[in-house]
Amino acid sequence: MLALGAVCLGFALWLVVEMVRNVQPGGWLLDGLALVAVGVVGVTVWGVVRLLGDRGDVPVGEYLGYLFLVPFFIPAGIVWSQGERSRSGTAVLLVAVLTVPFLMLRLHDIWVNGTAA
Amino acid sequence: MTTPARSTSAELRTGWGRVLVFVYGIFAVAATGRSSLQLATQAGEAPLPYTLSAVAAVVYLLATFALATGRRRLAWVTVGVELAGVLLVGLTSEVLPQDYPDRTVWSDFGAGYGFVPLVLPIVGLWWLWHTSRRPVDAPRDHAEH
Repeated sequence: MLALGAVCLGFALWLVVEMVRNVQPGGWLLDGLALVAVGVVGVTVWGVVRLLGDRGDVPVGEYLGYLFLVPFFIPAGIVWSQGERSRSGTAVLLVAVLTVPFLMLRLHDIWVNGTAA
Repeated sequence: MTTPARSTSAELRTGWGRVLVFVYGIFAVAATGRSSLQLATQAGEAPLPYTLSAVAAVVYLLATFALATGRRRLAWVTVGVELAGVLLVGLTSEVLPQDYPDRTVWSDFGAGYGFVPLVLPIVGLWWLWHTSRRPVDAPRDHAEH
């Protein structure tokens, strides 16, 4: 979960570089983002499976809410950015990619606090 | 000639407006999910914060809709209400913490979300003002907005 968040931060850095260079994302960058999006879906499945085991006092509703929300951000960012072939479009992707580690950290905290109780 | 005039409604969601709409969309979805869950499962525990969370969700949804569809007047109202809300809730959550047994998205001026809830309406109002002043025949180079 946190490792995927770190990968997203790496892509965020890449997107910042592309914004500064005013180069439209494509090729390896978009392929990589698609892979990250698949990875996020994998984390969601793993997160649900994890609930079947010892979940302590994890607030299931809140946890599932974040878990099912997070896979949509990168695909939505890719689609929304396609309408703006400029730095602004790249910035949309940057926001989408930065949202993922934020939510991953939130999920991690919810799980750790719930199972530690 | 650069005659200042009202820009087209599409201007609101182009250029950096594209980013603004996306961020508003994220907050609309997140706030709606959060408030729905709170009201469905714990409404009696903290009625004021959870009601305010629902209000915030509606405001974000309307602001996203207004910005994405170019409804300028609705955008001014909703983003204005959003700024008033985050300032009012931020202030009262500091001064009257006993009235806030749980947090809302606007508590402590949005500190739980990196103060984005405080910055967002200010950027939104600036964007509405900026796009309404843009000269009609100015070059529309989105990359440089």
